[in-house]
Amino acid sequence: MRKQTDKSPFISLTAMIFVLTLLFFYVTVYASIPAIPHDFNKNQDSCRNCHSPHRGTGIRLMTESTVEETCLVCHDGTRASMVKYQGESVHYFADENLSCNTCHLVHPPYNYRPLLQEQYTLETVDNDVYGEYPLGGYTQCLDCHSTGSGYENAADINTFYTGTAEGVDGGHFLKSSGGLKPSGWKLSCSHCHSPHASENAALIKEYLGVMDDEIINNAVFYTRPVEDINYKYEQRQFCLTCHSYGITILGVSVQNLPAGVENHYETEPSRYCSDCHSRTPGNNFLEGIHAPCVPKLLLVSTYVNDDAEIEAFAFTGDVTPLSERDVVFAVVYGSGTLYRDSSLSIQLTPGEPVQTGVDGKALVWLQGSETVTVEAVCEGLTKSISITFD
Amino acid sequence: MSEFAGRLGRTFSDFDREKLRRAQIGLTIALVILFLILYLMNRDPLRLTQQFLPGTSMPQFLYSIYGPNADEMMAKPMAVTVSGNRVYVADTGNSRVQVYDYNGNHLLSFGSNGRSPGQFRFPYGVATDSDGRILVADMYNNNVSVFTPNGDFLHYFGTSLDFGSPAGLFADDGRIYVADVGLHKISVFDESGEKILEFGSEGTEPGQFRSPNAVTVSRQYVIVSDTGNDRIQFFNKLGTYIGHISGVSKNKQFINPRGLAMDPQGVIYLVNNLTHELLAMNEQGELQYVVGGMGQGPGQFYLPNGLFIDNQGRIYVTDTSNRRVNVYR
Repeated sequence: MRKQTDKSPFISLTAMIFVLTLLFFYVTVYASIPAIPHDFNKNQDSCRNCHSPHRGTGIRLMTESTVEETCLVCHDGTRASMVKYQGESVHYFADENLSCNTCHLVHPPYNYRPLLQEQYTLETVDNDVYGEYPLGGYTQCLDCHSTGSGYENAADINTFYTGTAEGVDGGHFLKSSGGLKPSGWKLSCSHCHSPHASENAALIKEYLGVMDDEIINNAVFYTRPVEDINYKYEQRQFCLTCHSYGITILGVSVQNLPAGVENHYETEPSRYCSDCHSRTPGNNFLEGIHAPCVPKLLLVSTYVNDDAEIEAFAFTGDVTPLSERDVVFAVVYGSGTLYRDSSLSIQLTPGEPVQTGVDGKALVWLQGSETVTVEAVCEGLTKSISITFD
Repeated sequence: MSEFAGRLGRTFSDFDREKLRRAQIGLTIALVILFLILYLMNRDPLRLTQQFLPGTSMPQFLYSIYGPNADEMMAKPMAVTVSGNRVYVADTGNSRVQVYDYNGNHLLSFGSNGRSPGQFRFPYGVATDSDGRILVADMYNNNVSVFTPNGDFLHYFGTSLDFGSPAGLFADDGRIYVADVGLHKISVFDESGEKILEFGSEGTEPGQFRSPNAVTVSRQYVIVSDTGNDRIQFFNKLGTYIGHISGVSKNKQFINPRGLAMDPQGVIYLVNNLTHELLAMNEQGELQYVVGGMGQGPGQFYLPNGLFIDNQGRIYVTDTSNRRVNVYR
């Protein structure tokens, strides 16, 4: 007769292993979890750091009335990783219903440091000066600071980097996709701007090159209320805060004014810095400080004899090779008896006629696209010179 | 399945099934008890007072101090001190200091929001010097202000060279100790405001700090709540590093430690901010008891911060999100 098997030892062994496994995971994984404030995937008790199911007075049962107040309960600067939220210029805009969670993700998954909604180059987060990232690396900022974003108060900065199919070589600078790679060093948005709050206009930092509270050098940004930035003097002072002798930023010497024209801004009191250093002719301060260009300089000198005859043309300045991305300033000087009796008319083809001023100079703006002819007319005499952009 | 069980049964038929069954049951019970003990030691911190070492006296909850009245709640009280029979509370969210009598009745308030002398933007540490003057560290205005006991502004000391973000304060024996969360150091001043000592720098090594929020002084030690490093550190009166505690026995970790104090019996009290508890331990890091737990009830906390023990042995803990100060004895 076949002996009846006893299954109970197997069943009780299985049950015992199952119970022990449950207890093991519960005790070692859940019961000893530290109080991680944000990631409820790791600690489901963390919800109660911000939400209170019974006493929550704010929206979505937050412990405070607003998202911002809830965040600032902890993010008040009392711990190094927190951000001080103070200053006259702030990035939260009650009238547009923006707050911390406009830029930051409160709940996981956390794809972008530090808990950002969109990508922002780690170059700044990690304080790496020489990172190179395409425009897509600055989505966090440029999503709002671009035309059509829906945020009317956010200046369109993206346009300065997407001017052509090849992008724009922003000097200050965000490397646009496909654009030229300039030499030197690169700044990203948060090198100059404090994204949370600042005492300065336009969220400009107090000290350049500062991440968190570490002061890397002692260059102090010129600070003014934003409405003052429309004045030539204020704009010039803003630029000269950094572009002055001996300033280093993040270990790199700042490009000073060219030798020989170190004080040219003083001899051109009617000029804005952005007259020459932005691609858009005329004063475009926003473009000039975000994507400044370094124009090539062409000096065109005319020599006029005592009979008011133009004897010769001469030009100096290395403007070859030129590409269509270059900007050239042609400064045409009159000489001889010109100052006393007449003025020189400059005709650009293509272009508009330009009259020299009482100082005998005419500043003309050439942007490369085709051959430009500079024609000087004086006392009925004409001389011309052609500049070719390759 | 039944065939497999049958095969297993034929294997076990070679053993004494009764003994095996008893062994299994006994082992299961023993392991369940073991894990139950582990669970009790590590369970959810939402619990009330516990006592671990017999013979230690536990503080008993007395009462809570709220704002002046129902319409004027405190907002994020960060620190507290006691001078004579008055309790001074840094009502940080309201940019002022609240003053109460020894029974918790409101007496007066002083300070307002701003940058002018006598104003605050983030009043944090409060202390009283040997002359009974009230010292208030303002983390955003970057100075330490001095007031009369009735709140009349006298002067302030500290410059941007001295302070990054002055937070915790402690006065002892003519010295004022300032915990600086911005410069990650402890600065020591005399009562005229002259700096006489500083120690610490940013880092994680012994003797370094990351955002030290509080400092206290005992007969032997200067003890610093090294918040960003989740530990407390011990120094002598010259600022020489002695040792540190990163967590205590019974598997209790420091998580965002804030206010701390030492009583005359050598018990170290520490506010464990993110577990909403007040821990009591000895110098060897042996946990004596835990007070509080997350909640709004009597004796519970919601993100506690400041801590002070007066000369009567009363323990004051600022319960920031509950907008009150809990008092124990």
